[in-house]
Amino acid sequence: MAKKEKTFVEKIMPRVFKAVIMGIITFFLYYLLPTLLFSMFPTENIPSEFGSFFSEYENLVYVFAGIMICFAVATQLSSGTILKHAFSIAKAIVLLIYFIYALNGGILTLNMSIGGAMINIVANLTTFLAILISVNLLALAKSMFEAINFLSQKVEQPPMDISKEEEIASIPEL
Amino acid sequence: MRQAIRALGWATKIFWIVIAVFMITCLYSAMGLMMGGIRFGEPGVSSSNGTATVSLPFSFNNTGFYDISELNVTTCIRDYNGTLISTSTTFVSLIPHGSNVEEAHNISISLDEFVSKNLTYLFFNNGNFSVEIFAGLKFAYIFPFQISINATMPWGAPLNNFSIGEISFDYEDQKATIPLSFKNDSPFDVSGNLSFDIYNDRGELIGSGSVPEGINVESDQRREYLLQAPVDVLKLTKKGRILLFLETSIFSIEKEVEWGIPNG
Repeated sequence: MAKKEKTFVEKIMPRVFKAVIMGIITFFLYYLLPTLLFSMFPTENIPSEFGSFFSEYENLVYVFAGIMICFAVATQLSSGTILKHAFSIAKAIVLLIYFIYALNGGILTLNMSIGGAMINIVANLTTFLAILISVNLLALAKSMFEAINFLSQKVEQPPMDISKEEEIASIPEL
Repeated sequence: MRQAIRALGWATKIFWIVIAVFMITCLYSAMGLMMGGIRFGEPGVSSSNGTATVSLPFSFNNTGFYDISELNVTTCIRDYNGTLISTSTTFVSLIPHGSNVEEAHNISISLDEFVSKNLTYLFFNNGNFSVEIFAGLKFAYIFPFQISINATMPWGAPLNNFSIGEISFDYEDQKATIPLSFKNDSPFDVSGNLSFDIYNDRGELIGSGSVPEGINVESDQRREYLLQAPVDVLKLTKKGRILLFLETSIFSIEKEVEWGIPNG
């Protein structure tokens, strides 16, 4: 019994370690790097009316970083199991929804008033959104193929730790 | 299966890298445009052949990585009653990356059309015009952007507060004197000829005259004139009307005002 627990800890520790490493890398790539890039842009020349718009998108970048970090950790923790593929599929679907929400269906609008004049800015990003959706669908397809491949391999390979006697004993008598 | 998964994995990775690079370069280019890439010059006002033209010079310094295409600026000006006065469009087909394009958006207001469109009240009354500006462009050929601005623009009438004072008749010299005043609140000078006809209440012409030296009122100046004309005192009645004809280099207009002799 104690031997089995040790094996579980031994099994889980590298995964946890890998998950932590992946979490840190993802945190750096999707949180620190964009924050650094944002801070590099000199914003003092940008009209203050744009401020709220940019802060809203700054928040969405952080949400994106959160999604990426969560799924990177979850995928690493569940590596070698079907859950890994389930998380990959979930990640692709969540990102799909996130992009549609963040880009407001591809049409971004900004209304503001400068010096008594009403200014309405419309950016049509539907082409860009279509590209993002396509790449996400590609990732979704890849994850699904991986899940199917994983399951088919599981079916083809019988469990390795079951002994011959146990296997024979498990066959019901006719 | 493994080959397909590998191919999909590589395709996804490559696409993500391309998208990330494209996004960063797009943001960089857009920031460059927002921070000094688009400049507006001093608007200039000119007039010729009855058309006043407001010229808005602007420059696009495209320091980014991508071309800007189909730049279109349209301006619609409406008077305080909502009547369309002018529509102007400026189109720049392409601003290649790394180049600076200087253009001017010309907003033309034909003062002669004020008469033909029955908008002569605009010559005599100041007010606010509503200005609608629509600007559109395509960034990197795939991102269409549209900006619409609703603003108001003060309109200075060239003959603001146009008024005729009390008409007086000199029966001995058979002469009529009419005080006239107005203020030129428009951005251009009003210079030309002013002539007038005086009618009695039966519609008979009793006299006519003009300002011999012509009129010349600079922008933002108020002028008073004493119009004098010989009249036929035998046809004189207690009241009547005066028909004024003003012909300037940018517009021609006629105005009818009534006159009457107080206690006459």
